[in-house]
Amino acid sequence: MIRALMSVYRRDVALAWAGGGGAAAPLGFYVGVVLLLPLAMGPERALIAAAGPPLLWVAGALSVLMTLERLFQADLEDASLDQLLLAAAPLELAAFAKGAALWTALGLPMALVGGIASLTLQTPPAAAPIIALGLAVGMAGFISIGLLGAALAAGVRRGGVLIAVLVLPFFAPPIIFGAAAAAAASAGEAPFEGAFQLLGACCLFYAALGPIAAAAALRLQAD
Amino acid sequence: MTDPALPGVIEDPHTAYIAWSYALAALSLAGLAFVGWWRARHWSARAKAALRAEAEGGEAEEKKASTP
Amino acid sequence: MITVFANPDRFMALSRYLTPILAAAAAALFAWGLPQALVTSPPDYQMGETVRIMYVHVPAAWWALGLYAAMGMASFVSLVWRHVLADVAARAMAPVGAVLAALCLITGSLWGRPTWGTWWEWDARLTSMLVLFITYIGYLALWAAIEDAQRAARLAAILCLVGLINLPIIRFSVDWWYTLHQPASVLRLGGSAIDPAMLSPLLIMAGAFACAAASITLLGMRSLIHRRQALAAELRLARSAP
Repeated sequence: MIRALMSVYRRDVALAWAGGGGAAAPLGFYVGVVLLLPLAMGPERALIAAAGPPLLWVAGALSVLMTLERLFQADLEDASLDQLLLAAAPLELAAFAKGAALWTALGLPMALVGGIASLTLQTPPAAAPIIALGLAVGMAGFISIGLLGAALAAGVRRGGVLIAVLVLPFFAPPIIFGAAAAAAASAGEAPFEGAFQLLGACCLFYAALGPIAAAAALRLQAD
Repeated sequence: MTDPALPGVIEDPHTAYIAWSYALAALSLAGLAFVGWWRARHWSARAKAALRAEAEGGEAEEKKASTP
Repeated sequence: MITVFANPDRFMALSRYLTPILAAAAAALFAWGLPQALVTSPPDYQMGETVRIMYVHVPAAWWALGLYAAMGMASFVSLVWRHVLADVAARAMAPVGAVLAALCLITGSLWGRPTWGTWWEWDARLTSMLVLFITYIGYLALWAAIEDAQRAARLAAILCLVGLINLPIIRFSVDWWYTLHQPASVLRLGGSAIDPAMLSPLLIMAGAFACAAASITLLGMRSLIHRRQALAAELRLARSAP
């Protein structure tokens, strides 16, 4: 069972980076947004420092949104979803493995890029690891609940807009707590632990809920 | 009715805001009720027509079967 | 409740009478409540006459939330007992709830202009109502996107249940966010205990909204059931025809 899950995980990580597909485009989008903001706002330090942490989070949420449409669609088309359904491992864990793969392929690099980019956005260097860690946790939350959106819209052609409407309400709590923690850390004065703990609790809950709900939806999609 | 602590924030008269609120509430409830009524009428007529056509078709087939 | 309504035929027989009765009750409650809300209830000492907007704004907010909770229960019944009527009920409630949420947002905006001096304030209650409205839109969009009615019902039920679990989290996060960024000069609404002279019209109007929403929901359920019957019969006809 573990081996089956690991193979799902490895296959998805490999697919995300193969041939410039999957994870490369959203990562490029993320870097682009972070680069373009100072150009749009002007180089004034205080302005960029205030806008930086929220921007990193908004760009992260939107980048995850970009990847969701293809998450289960490809599996539904090439019938590897049926294989997942027949496999020894429960579908819930398979969905979790797919989410974990997306997080490894996209969430982790994005958190790293975000941590580095926060330096160019005038946050103090001490805050960069906290921002990166927060982004890593937050991406896990976004991806977990994104699994549900992707599973619900798997059979729908051009489901991108539908997925966005479905998951946006769920993105509100992590982005509130995450951006608040990042802003508090970069401001340096306010304690960020409270917001960080709430972010962690929320994303942990999503990580439990998302794969279960996504698996329930996928079973319906298959039959 | 202007609050002395917040000069100018509360405008007078407010009748327009109140009238708009109640008008929109009435309009949305009436709109929902009308659409609901219209759809119910449409689908019940269509269901009746389809069921009647089915019953007639069934009778015709029975007749066909009974008269060789 | 469930066993009484479990049979679609019995539901149709019952709702045929219940729908107009509820509509009449709504009309009577409006006739009783509107004069109080618009004329006889006292103006607020701070907000003046604009407080009258509350009598449509707050019932709309209550039932937008209440209908979502009811949809959650119907979705639960639909997933556990696989009952057609529960699907139909959840589907029929959604547009009513979405319109009430929109009404709450618009009247909130109309109330905010004279009291806050702005058409939109990122107030905690308005913000969570906006999120609820988007949730409704997502639910309806999912129903619209999937052609197979049964599959759409099940998938929408999953979404609705997960959304129901998530609603308190959103509420908490938005409240938390609002206290974090508390604006300096905003008139607090509904902070103190409400005057009994205002409570009575508010409750009557809430009752009127409830009866109207229930009547419209029953109407919607009736047309959805008729729609199923019609489409099924037409399909059978098309199959039997050579």
